[in-house]
Amino acid sequence: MTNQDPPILLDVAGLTVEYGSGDDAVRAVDDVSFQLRRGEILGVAGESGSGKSTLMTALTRLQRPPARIAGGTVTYHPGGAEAGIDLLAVPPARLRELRWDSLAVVLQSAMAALNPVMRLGAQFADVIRAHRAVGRKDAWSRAEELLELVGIPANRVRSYPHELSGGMRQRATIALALACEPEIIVMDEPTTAVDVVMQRQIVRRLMRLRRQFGFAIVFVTHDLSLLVELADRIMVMYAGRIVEIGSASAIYHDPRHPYSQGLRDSFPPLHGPLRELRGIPGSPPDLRALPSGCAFQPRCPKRQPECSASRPELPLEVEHGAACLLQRPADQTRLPASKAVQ
Amino acid sequence: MAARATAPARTPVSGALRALTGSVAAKRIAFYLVAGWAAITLNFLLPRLMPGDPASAILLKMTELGPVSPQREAVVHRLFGGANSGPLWDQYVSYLGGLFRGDFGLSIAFYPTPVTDVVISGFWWTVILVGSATVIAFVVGTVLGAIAGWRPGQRFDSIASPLSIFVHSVPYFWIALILAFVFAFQWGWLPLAGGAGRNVEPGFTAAFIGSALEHAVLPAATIVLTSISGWLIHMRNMTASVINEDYVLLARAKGLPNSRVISGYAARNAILPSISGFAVSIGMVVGGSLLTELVFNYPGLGSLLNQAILNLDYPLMQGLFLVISLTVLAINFIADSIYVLLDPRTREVS
Repeated sequence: MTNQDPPILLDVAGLTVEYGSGDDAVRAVDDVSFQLRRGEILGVAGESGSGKSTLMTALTRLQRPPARIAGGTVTYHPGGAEAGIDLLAVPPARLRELRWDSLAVVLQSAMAALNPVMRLGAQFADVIRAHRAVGRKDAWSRAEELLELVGIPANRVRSYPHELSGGMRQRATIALALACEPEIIVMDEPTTAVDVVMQRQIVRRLMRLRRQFGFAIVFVTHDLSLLVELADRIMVMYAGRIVEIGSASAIYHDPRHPYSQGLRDSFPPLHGPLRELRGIPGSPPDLRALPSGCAFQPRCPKRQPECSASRPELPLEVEHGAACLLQRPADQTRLPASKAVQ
Repeated sequence: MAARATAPARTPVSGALRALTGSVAAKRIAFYLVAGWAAITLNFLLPRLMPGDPASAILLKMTELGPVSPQREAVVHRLFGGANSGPLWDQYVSYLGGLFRGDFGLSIAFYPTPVTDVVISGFWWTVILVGSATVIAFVVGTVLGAIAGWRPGQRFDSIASPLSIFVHSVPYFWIALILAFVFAFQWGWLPLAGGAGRNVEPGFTAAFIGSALEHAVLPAATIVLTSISGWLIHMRNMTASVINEDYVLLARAKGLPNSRVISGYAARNAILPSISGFAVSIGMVVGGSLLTELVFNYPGLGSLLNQAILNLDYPLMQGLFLVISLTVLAINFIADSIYVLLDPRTREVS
């Protein structure tokens, strides 16, 4: 690690999430490790069922039964400090203090994420007052400031969620995430439910807010093209595992895992001449009966006989690496290589 | 942006119409006034539509009980029509006039007590007994249901929910009989029947209130035991589905205390359908809990209705039906108004 790199905020190691227990357990997230640095936008891309939403809830220990964390650690380093807190092991009271104060969440469907029977301001005020010693009045005026930050008129603070448009609601949930100025915001497909024009506006505003407040984002989406523009680094997930991790430009220009290549080729290029669009044949695997060896092997256009024999591991401590047998160790870009700066 | 485009264009005509019909509250009040008028008018028409001549039957019964003065005869004709009682419209006007004076004629079953006095005597017994039992059952059942639904499948839920379904399927008069048999007859802990001790003078005295409470325990327990399970199951199912909503997940992500997540987010939304059900059952309170009142010989409206039917006491029945239907309307009006406060989505968006 070079000295210029911002300090690590979140260190996820061997995180495994299962649905159910015993022999029937299904692994939705399998041995996932990654690091999030201060102020960084880390994109998580994958198809439906790749485990990306399960990963998001597990990061904040919000998984609901029958999901349970079967192993691993999620270490949070406040302010990038050396000493870390394992979010999966802290007592519930301490976890409650850390939630939203350090680690906020934006959910996919803003309509469903806001309480339909509470005024917008009250939904800001209750979280502000749970974490800060402020009065009711101050909490409400803070809510007005936050709404204006995302371009919603301050007088909307007395509105109910159903009185706002879809785009407004989504921006309101982003404003809500900023309420306690967290260091990390986990976003689960925050732009999926809005049209592309609104999506563009939200992304641009998000970038501006990040410059202003310096928070780091884990951005979960199936939209790889959006991530290429938005993220510093991208993590591609398949069947609950990370199959490739690297800088956004490396994933876009030089995808090394055949699955990442397939994902990239299934949307039109951002710049330059059009190339032929290709989908990925087949459908995501059944997690209850994963194929032997590499989980992608039955759909892979570059399949080799040995692919079904052993499962390739993602090399650790690499700048850009893929979990694929076709990748010889020499191909993995090792740290401390020059970091692709956005 | 999208919402603005889909908003309907307001024409001057629709604006004027809106001003005429006024606010949502005015519309609601108007609806309830019309419904109340319909109830009163049906009450007037029904005895007149009956085959035969109820007025003559009532008069015949009254003469058996004692001499009938011409004024009393006129009252019967005003309330029930009859052969020589003038055109329908005149009858209707004098019927309404009698209503506003609170004059419903004389009860046959309690001859010659006026119906108004009979109804009032039963009204408070029933409202206090059934009303408080209904409120207790709703509060306890809903709270327990929220607890069970918050962690579905866990220990409390796996005991409370099957037990509720079992209790719910037992006929409530049977529970009343069991309670009366065990606690009043076998063990003699509590009085077997009546609203208060016979030798206690009614009034705001400690002796009377104590006696009334003692008499209310078993009938109230019957109502609470049998209706609590319905609220519990309903609230449990609603809570169990609401906790899967994203706003509950977000409330947990906010780091709010569990009590706040339940009260402000999960139970707060899950209770909305129960509130409508509660309004209906509060409205039904004045109808009395007929079988419970019969088992415990409780002097409430349910017992009165039973006696009115047994004695073919049409004046009392008419009075009871009117009180019941008007109270149901009044309670529903109040509940409707409260519901609008609880669920902003039912308010008209300005």
